[in-house]
Amino acid sequence: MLNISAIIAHQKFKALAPEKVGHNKNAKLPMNKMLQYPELAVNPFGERICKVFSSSRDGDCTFEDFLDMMSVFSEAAPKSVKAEHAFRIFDFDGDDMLGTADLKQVIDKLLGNNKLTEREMQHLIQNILEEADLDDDGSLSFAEFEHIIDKSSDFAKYA
Amino acid sequence: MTSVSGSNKTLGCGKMLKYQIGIWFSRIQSNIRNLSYSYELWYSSLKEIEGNFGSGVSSYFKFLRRLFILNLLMTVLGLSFIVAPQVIFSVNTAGENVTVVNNNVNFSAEDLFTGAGYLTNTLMYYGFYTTGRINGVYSMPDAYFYTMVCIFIGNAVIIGVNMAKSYRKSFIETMGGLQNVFAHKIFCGWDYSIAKEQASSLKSNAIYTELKELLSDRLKMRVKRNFIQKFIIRTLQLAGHLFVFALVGAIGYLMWILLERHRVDDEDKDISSTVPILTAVIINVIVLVFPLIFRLIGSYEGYKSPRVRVIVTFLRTLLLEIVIVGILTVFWLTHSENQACWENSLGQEIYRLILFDFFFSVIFLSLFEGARYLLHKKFKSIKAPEFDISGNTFSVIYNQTLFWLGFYYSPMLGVVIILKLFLTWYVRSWVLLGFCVPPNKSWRAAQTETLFLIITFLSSLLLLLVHGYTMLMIRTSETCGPFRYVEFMHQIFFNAIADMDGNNTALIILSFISKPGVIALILIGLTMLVYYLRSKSVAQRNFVMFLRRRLVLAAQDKEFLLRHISEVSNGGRLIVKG
Repeated sequence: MLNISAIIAHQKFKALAPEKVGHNKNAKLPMNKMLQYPELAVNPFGERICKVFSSSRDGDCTFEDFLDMMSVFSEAAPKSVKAEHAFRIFDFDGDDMLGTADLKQVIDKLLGNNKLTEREMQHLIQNILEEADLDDDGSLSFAEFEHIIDKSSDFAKYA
Repeated sequence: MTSVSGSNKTLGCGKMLKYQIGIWFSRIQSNIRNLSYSYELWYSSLKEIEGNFGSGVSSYFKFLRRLFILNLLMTVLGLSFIVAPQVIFSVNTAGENVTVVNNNVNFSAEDLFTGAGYLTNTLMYYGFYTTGRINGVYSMPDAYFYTMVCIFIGNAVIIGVNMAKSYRKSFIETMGGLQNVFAHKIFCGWDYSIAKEQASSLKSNAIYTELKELLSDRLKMRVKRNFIQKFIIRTLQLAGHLFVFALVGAIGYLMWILLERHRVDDEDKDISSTVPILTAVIINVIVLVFPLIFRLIGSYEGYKSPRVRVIVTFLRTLLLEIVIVGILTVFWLTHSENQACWENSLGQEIYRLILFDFFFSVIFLSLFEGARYLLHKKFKSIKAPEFDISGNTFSVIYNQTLFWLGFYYSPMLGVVIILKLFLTWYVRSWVLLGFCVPPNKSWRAAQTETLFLIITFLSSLLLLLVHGYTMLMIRTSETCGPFRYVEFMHQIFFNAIADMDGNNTALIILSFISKPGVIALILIGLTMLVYYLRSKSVAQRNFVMFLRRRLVLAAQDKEFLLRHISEVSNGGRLIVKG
């Protein structure tokens, strides 16, 4: 089972840049190539996802990174693994906390071309923190994030 | 995260097997769920609607789909256990004169509208079904009775379970200290399976509309009014309620008179189709026009949030529906004594109402919206039509109530209703996507959906009561239908019990359960269970509050310590001073 899905994944990986992967099995694909993968292309967090999974942290992915990505996003991946990666994707500044700036970026990306007014944005962030920030320190730790995610059936389904 | 427990004991064979089976079972379950997602009915058009119009509008379509599937199930059961056996029976006994009413009437197109004439004596209605046994085994009255009872009870149970689930999701789980609506929307809002540019922007739009809805909901709650304003508004609202009650009463009276006239007409002349059709048309016009009037009244009453206004209007419309269906039922049940086959008449009445409801609330309304859209294109001063969620949902619930009432007297009505809902889906979604603009009202989709389900459940319970009363208290017609040889319908059941001999296990179980002591014991047990669960939930809620407070305290401690540490490291004097 695992081998077959790995082969399928490799075919998909190869399809992104046939000339590169064809020559060198351990080729590293630059981020703009990675973002041609259909699900990543339209995902507002596409770049973040590449960066989180890339072993060199710059968004360029080897096949192993790609395989990691596919397995985390597969339906069979456990919720806790998904939550961990989602947290890293949302954590733009990489300080292991989701602060106001991170939330603002997440919302902006999520809404695409639609823009909230400054007041609405503030109100929204304040509401999120009110709901999720259990210890009132103004940002979300991983435990708090996981707590929110845990209550959601949609998360396991889609993410 | 918690670490794996330290015990080195290997799992026993039995436990291993148990876990294996558990894993296996949950895997099957998730596979089935995945499968049902990929074959979800109308999934793509639902997504398109959701992306373009927000979750409020799509809650109407989801509701429509839910009822469609439910009705499909009911109809398939009805067809296979009642209609199909009857067809076999009719074929077997062809030539013998099984039916009492003559079937010499020729079919005409008009009959499709009146539901009478040729259709009266077909599989369509209760009256056609026989009392016989097929091959001496399959007893039609028993089949009719038990199938109907099972369908109606099963139906109420399914809706009840759905309602409870949706209630739990949208009300209970977001209650108490934690209300993670926003966080949930932000962190779990994106659908990672989206792979198309268009779908992606639709999803963005959907999330945007939803967030806007939620935010405006929160902001609007902050407006306060002073005492005199409050008093005036209360008076206005009271007057509004009284006015609506008077209106609904008048409508009920009008309906009664109409029904009386058309029955008198029936007796005078043999076949006159205009009066019954006229009745159906008038009732449908009432159903179409009065919700609009109620909405107008509601807009003058000064409700704080648009949601309350919508709900009040919705409840008033529901009252109208209950009065209409109630008058219809009461009329035919009280006139059952001097009618040739009152079951058929009631079935026909409902057939006509459902049919004309389609013309009015689906076709006519859609044409109206289309025309308005064209006018809007020409003259900008006319607003483009908005999709009226509560009005449309009301019409579906009304339709469903009629169906539940009529299905008992017309097993083929299910086919009509399925066709109708099917067409409704396509017509309405087409009109919506082509002509309408997204509503600018705020809609909390999940809670609205729950409200719809609650109302549907109540109406199904009400109809269960109506049908129960009919079975117990109303004499059946002596000349038609499967129950013509018994006086009351429930006798099918009780005669079967009376026919059992004393040693029958089913009878022994039944008589044991119906003992007062046993019933009292069950009731007490249930009450204790409810009490236990209730106190458990209260305790848990308190505990959550307590833990939350402790977390905040711990965070304050942490902050205090951190501040001190930074003070100390910046200017090391602090400790020396102390």
